[in-house]
Amino acid sequence: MAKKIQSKKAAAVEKNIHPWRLCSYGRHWVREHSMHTPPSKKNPGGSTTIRHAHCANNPSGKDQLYHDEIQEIAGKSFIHVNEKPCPLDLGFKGKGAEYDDFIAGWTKYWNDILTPVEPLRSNVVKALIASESGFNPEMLANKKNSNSARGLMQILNSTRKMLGDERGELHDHFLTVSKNELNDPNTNICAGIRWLFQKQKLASSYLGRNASWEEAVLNYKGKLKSKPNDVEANKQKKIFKKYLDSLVKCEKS
Amino acid sequence: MKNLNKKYLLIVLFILILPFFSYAADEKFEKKQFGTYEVSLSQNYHNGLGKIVIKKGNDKVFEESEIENHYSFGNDFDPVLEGPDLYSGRDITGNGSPHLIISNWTGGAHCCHFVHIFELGKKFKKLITVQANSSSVRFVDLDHDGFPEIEFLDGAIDYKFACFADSPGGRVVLKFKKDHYAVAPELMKSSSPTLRKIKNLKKVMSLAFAKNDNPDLPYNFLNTMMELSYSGHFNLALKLADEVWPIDKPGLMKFKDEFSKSLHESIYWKAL
Repeated sequence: MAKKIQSKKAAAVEKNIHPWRLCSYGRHWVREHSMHTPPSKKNPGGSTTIRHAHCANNPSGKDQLYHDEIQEIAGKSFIHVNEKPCPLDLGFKGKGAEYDDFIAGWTKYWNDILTPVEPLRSNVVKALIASESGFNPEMLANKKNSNSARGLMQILNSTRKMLGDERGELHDHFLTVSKNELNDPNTNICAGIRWLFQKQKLASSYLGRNASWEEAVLNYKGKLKSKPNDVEANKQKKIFKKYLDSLVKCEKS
Repeated sequence: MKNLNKKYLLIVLFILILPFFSYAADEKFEKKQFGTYEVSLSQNYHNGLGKIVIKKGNDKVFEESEIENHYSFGNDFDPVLEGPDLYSGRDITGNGSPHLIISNWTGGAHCCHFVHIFELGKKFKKLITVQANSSSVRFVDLDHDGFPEIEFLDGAIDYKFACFADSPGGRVVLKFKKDHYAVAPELMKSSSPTLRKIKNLKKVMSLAFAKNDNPDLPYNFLNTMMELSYSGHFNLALKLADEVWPIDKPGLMKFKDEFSKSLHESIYWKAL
C-alpha cells in the first residue's frame, strides 16, 4: 500500500511542469480556508469548517495559475533566484528596487515554461514597469474606470480575461486572477510577463521572424505597427530605452 | 435495425456537437445580420489574425484584417457596461439609417482602442473610426437630443511627462453634425473658472509638486493642465503652470513647449 502511494506521488511530481509548482499539470493550488455552512433546520447555528490546502482539478485539464499559488511560489522559491535585475531605483525613490525579487522570479519561471528562442531578461521587465506605472502597484490608469489598466504592468480588464480564457488565444498556461488581485504586485508581474510572452509570440508572427524583447515591449504598448515617423511611438521607445540602458549599464559595472 | 440506426445517428450527432464542448479552439467566429448586411468577425488563435468582413447581399463592401486586431460587436470599451451591443441596428445619428458599431482592440496590455461606426443604409458608409488609444469610450446623449455622442479621453500626453498610468487624458466629445462626426467644442467647453476655483486649482497643483517623490511630473499637476486645456482654457493652464512650478525645478519652458506641441499634434484638441 505504501509503495502504491509512493509511486503515485512520484508520478504526480513527474507530471509537474515546473519544480516550483505545488500541483501537477492540470491542477491548481487552493490555500487553506474556512468554509461557512449557513444555518439550516438540522444545524440552526450554522457551522464553520476548515478546508485544508489542496490541489483542485482544472476543468480544461490544462495549466492554470491562480492567485493563491502565485503567492506560495513567490514566498518559497524566489529567494533562490540569482538572475535579478539591476538594483537601481531609476529615480523612483523607495519603490524602484522594491519588486526586483518578483521580477526576477517570474522572468525565470516564464522563461522555463515557455522556452523562448532568446530568454527574457529581467531588466527588460523592470524598464517596462518603470515606464508603465513608475512602480506604483495600485495605479489605475483611468481613476474613474475600474476596467482600465491597473497595477505595476498596467493590465486591462480585457487582458486579464484573455489570460484566463481557456477557449481563447493562449492555448495553455493560463492565469485566472480577479481585478483586485491585479493590485497585488506579485500577481500583476506574473500576469504581465505572461502577456509579454504572448505579445512576443504575436510580434514574431507579424514580423515573420523571431521578435526581439524590445519589439515585444513595443507590441505590449500597442505600438509595434506604428509608422516610423509616429511621434508617440518614438517617444515611448525612447523612454523605455532610457530606463533599459540605465539598467544594462549598471549590470556591466 | 431501427435501434441500430438510432445508435448511428446518436454517434454522428455526438461527433458533430463535440467541438463545441472542447477546450481547444483554433478560431473565434461571429456573424450577425442587419437587414441586407451580413457582418462577420473572426480571430485566428494561431497567428493572431483578426478580420472583419461586411457584405451587402453578395457584395463585399468592407474588409479589414491585421494580426492582433480583436474585433467585437458594439462598444467594448464602455467603463461601466459589459455585454450587449446596445446601438448596432439602430439609427444613432438621426439620418434615418441603421448603424453598426464595431470595437477593435489591438491587443496591447492597455492599448489601443478603436471604435468603428458604419452606416448601413441604401449606401454603405464608414462614418468614423474613433481613435481612443488606451481610453474607455462612452456613447452618451449629452445634449438630450435622443442621439448619443461619443465621449473618451485623448491620450495626447501619454508617456510624455510621466509613466503611462500617471498620464491623464483630455476629455473629448464627438457629435454627429450634418453628415459626419466632429469634435463638439460646445459640449466640451466650460465657463471660465472663478477666482476661488483658480485658487483651489493652484493649491492642488502646488501640493502635487510638494508630494512628488519621483522623476515624473505629478499626476494632479498634469491632470489640471489637461482638464483646463480640453475645456477651452489652454492659456489659463499655461499661466498656472508658470505660477505653481517650483522655483528650484528646471525645465518649465521645455515643459510648456512640449505640452503645447503635444496638444497641437492631437487631431481632437486641434478642433477645439
